Amino acid sequence: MDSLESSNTSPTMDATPSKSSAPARVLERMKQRQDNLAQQTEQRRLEKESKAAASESVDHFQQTFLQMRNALEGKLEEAGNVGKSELSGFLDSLVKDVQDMQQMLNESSMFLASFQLKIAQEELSALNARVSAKIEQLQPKKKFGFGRKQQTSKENEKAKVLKKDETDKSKETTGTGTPGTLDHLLENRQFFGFKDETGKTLTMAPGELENRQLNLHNLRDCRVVALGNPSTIQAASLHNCTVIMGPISRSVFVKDSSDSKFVMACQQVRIHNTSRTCFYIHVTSSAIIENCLEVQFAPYNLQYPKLDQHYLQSGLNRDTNRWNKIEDFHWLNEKEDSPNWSIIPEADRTSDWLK
Amino acid sequence: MKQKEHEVRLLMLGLDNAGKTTVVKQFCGEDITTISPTYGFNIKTVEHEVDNHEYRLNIWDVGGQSSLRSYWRNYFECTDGLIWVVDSADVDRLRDCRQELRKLLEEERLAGATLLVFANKQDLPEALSAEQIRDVLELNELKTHHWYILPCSAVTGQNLIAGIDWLIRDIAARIFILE
Repeated sequence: MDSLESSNTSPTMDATPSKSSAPARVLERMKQRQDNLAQQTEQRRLEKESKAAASESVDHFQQTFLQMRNALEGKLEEAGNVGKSELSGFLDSLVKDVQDMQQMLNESSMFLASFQLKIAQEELSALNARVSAKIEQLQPKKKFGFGRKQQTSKENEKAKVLKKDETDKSKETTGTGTPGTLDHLLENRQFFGFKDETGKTLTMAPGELENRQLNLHNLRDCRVVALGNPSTIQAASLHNCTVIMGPISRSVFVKDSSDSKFVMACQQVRIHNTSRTCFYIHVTSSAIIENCLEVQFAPYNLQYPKLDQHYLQSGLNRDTNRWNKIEDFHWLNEKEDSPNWSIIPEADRTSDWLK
Repeated sequence: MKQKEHEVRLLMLGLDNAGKTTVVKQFCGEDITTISPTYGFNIKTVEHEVDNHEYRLNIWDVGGQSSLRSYWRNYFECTDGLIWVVDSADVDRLRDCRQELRKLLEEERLAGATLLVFANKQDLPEALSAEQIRDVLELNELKTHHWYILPCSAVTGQNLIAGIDWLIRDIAARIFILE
């Protein structure tokens, strides 16, 4: 290792490193560095080779895949006996198991013969269908969580949206935890958007959205209407919700959601751990999915009076829309399209979002 | 005497949606409105002058998606400087962010690298300050690497050059030792 001694000076916010050494020593160190780099490259090559031999074996794959399949089938058999309180977690674990198997299959695709790949993919699709059927059969009806927040329903919706300066004040006076720690920040964070709501229509005016990041957290059976031009959107844990958005200047990040609909225009979309959800999008660069099942796409088809103005503010190029060029970061198999997303047939598309 | 141009290898990491590619493109003066989520990596070579010395920066910008993080280690070799980009408005994932950075800093192959942290997205009103990010990441406890944190905005370009200049100076002092 070269020049490690300088790493031990105590670092500060504006650490300026010391500069001093004789020219001869410089040459020596530069040569040493060259040697080290060459040596490291060689070592890395060897490591790579030995690793490849150990893990890329077909037998290893077949065995592991079989074990995972048997375990999942066992769980499917027992699903009927799982208690109500554990059911939701149990069903999630089934989906996770399928995803794990898919990931393993993707990673192994380069050394499996095409028929092996095909058989494994078919088995996996069959398992996936059984898991979906089981979830359909056992999942508690959506009405559950209603009423939990009924007592606050009369409050003005906007009161829920904390303004920046208000939260700043509360931070100074009523903050909990030790300042500077992550827990403290999480507890005293500024939050702009909607969270922890059930069965409501949540709206936000265009003026409030400008240059902001709109956050949507933990919503169930809600309808979010935000016809304006925010900078970015972060949505997490939305279930059975409809989110209707004006043009967003930059990125959208959706995670851990299910059975929802999103209508939005933006530059980038990232969708993680989401299932059975429809996206009506205008995206100028691209949309990616990761760990998703049954997500569907259609072009953005929202109409409202100030749409043109908000598009203009957003700077989005209206002539480029890559709504149907979805990249699945969990599907590394180039020979086949990802089974995790599809296009909504034209006849099934919704367009009267604001009725 | 004219100095020979020095090569510096910079590795750009951070969670997905932190703005890594936007930082690189903005730094290089390229269009930032057509950036897609990074699948795999981008490599950018750019000439950059600091204190009258020319450097050739090889910037490796690697995708931050969780399914890609296990591949980060393939890029550690020969890294002179690590640029860790943080989405300062994504409070929910700061725990992940801290965890991933810690793992990196324990990597033997990154032991000699200088660390620059960009507290990005300062253009958003809800962004945490660089001081808050520093405390969350517990940088003050970090004794194994030279480090520096700056608030920045990849969208406006704020502080990008200042940060990279600091990084180059630190690396140059460690490795090339200019006269």
